[in-house]
Amino acid sequence: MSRISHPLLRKIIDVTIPYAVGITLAFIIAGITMYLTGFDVLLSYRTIFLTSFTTADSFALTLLKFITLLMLSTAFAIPLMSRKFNIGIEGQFLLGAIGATIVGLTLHLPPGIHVTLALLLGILLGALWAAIPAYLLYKFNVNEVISTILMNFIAFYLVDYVATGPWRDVVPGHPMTIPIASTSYLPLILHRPSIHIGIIISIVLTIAAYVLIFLTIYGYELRASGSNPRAANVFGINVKFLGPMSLILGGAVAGLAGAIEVTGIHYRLIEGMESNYAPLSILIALMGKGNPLAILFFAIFISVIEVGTSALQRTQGVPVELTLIVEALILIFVLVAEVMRRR
Amino acid sequence: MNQDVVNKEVPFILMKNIRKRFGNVIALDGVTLDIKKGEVLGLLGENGAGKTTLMNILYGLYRADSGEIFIYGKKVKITSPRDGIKHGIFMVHQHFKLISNFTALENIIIGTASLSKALKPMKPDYAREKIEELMKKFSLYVDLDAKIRDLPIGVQQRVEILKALFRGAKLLILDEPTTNLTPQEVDVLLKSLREMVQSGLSVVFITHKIHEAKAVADRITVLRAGKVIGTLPANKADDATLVRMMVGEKITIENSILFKGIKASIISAEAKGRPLLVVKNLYVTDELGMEVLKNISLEVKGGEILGIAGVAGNGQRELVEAIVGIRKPIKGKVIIKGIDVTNLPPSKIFSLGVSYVPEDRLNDGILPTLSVAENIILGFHKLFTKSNKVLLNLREIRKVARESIKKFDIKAPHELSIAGRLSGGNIQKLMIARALLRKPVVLIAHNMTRGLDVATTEFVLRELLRLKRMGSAILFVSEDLEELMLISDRISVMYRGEIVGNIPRERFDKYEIGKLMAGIRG
Repeated sequence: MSRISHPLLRKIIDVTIPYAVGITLAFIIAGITMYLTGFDVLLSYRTIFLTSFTTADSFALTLLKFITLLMLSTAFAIPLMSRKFNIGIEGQFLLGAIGATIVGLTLHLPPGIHVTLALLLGILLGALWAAIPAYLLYKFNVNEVISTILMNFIAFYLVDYVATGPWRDVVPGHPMTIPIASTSYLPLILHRPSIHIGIIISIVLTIAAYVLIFLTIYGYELRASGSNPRAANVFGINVKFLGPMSLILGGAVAGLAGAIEVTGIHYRLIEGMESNYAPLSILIALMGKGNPLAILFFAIFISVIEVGTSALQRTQGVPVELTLIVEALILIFVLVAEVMRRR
Repeated sequence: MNQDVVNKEVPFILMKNIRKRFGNVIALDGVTLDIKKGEVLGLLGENGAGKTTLMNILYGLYRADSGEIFIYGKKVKITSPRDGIKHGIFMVHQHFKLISNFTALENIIIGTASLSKALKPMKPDYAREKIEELMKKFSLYVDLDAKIRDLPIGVQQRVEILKALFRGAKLLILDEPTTNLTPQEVDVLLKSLREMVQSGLSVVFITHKIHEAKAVADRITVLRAGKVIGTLPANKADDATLVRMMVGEKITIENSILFKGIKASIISAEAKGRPLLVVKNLYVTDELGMEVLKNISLEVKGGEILGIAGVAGNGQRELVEAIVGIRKPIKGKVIIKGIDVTNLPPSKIFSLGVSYVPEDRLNDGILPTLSVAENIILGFHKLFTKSNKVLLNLREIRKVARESIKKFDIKAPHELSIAGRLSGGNIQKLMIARALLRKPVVLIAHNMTRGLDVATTEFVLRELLRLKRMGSAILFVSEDLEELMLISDRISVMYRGEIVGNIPRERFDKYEIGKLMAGIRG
């Protein structure tokens, strides 16, 4: 262990310091903003950091956000290793949600099998949604950033179509489908507050992603092609194939996240359920430089901040806009600190 | 103050106690150096000794961390090339800074017009007469109306020198100016430099070649590891002293193949093997459809080193890339170990036991964000898995990396350090360590020793001879003619995408090869 301590330590210091500086600065600025708008600064800080840990419900809420953020970050991180930017996690997530909804609404099966099938169709549709940009990249070298963004637009309206079609639940005013069969619900590992099995799935998946990226030959080739595609190609790595393949893998993970969101939380497809998960996840993945273990850490951090800032509104009457500004400030400062470090 | 009556003891330029660090590396450690009016100062040292850094500081491209510069005893501040030029200091770098689609004349005068003229269409002819005079005076003949891209490297260099002279250079710094010149062009250059110093100019001639320094310089200053070891008059310096000053105690000169040559018995060990690498009537086109390789045929037997000579850019790169499968030929065949590999991907070709040292190590060789260990196994990485063929055998990878780091003296803090942070010379060592990780059946090496210090170059050449004895076929592409003549069994010369001559070792002659490199066929 002493042998690897040097580079490993260096890596940890490299990652930690900018974020510590960035977060501190962000909170100072956020504090000034709140002070100027007439709110109790210290109480606000406490709310942001501690809400997640004060009640069982808010802890559960934090965990649920964490599951989704973690999985979507991983979905972004895998292609990131081959320097492909999977902006399409949002659309892939929604397609996964549609897949789970279809299985949940149309099939009648025993509990275990039903939910498994729902998740599988979610994975499949997520992967397929990523396969289209992947194919375009492989065949015509179409930039994946553009194609995945465009696939997101299609996904939004596809959700709209499903949620306002024959399956529409007409009781609530907002477009959503009727609830899925209870046999397709994700099993809970904890009742009251209810925590579903997705927490285990997401953590196992993240560790699996770590193993894939850093300990297998595929991960090696993926990282090599991301580090220097030309050199990787010169030394016999099939770069052309790996990038698109990693996009599809990312799509599958994002699809699973969407399916878990439907079968574990909402029990139906709701328009707008993608919330701000995708941009936050991209951020988490970039902060962690695609390393799933770092992502795990940053996902916890962002989930806590998310829940904490939204609680500001309830406890102190801070307008929701201001809470969003505080959150954005934190993230911007962290990113600036990161850029400054590289100089 | 009239410069001609200045006390002879006060040097034209004095650099005093110059220090410069790059990160953790001390590039210059208190260097003091003087340059006299009307002399050629040879600045001799091996790669990485700090020669170019020192001159970049004088020219104003870098700033010293500490130290002073005096011109005729007067302290000056040089913080940008603009300052350097103001004092008449000009530098011709290894990579020329010319505009390729402008004519030679336009390149020489560019930027010299006053602001009022600069806004009008360029009329370069006002300078023609003066430039032609300079050309005649210093034997620097150039077709002034030819576009730079149509001129050979040697002539482009003359344009760079004329550019400096036209602007009133008092000191001309030339950084390894003989790289990529044919021996004939080298002779012409050295003659011109002598003429320049006779008319009162000063020249600093940066080189790592002892005989060049002795041929052109009045005095030779030797730099080693950022320190001045000493300054000698060129006519009193003998080779042995200079070698010792240059490399220190790191190698034994008596046994050195670089300084004493290779015993005939080693090289003449007749290549008995079967042909391991055969190229037959190969044609390759570039992205625009231009033929960059025309009808190339060659054959390398086991135990044989075939040298490829030529000025850079005459198709050498395309040739090696076509052999290892990165470029697809339009016609012709590449046969390795009797197997037709013409359209196979690089991975298949490497799996036959081919090793490759690419010329462009930064673009083609290194994975900058991965570790040294992960870089060393690149290309062989499939051999480093556990029995399930999926998981990497990290322990084995790190062990092999540690061995390579030790064997090739790669200066990396750790085998898991990020490879992109290594210096150029150490990245080059990494490339070589990778190529020699497994005994190659066929080794394709392009400018293999570029950027290496003397001791490492010596080590690499010995490794090549060892591989030769063990029966490997080696295609050794280099722009360094002396190195090629030292180690090759045969040399093929490339010119404009063709092989224009094949010369066996007993007929090696640098002027003959130089003629072929310049496209003059016997």
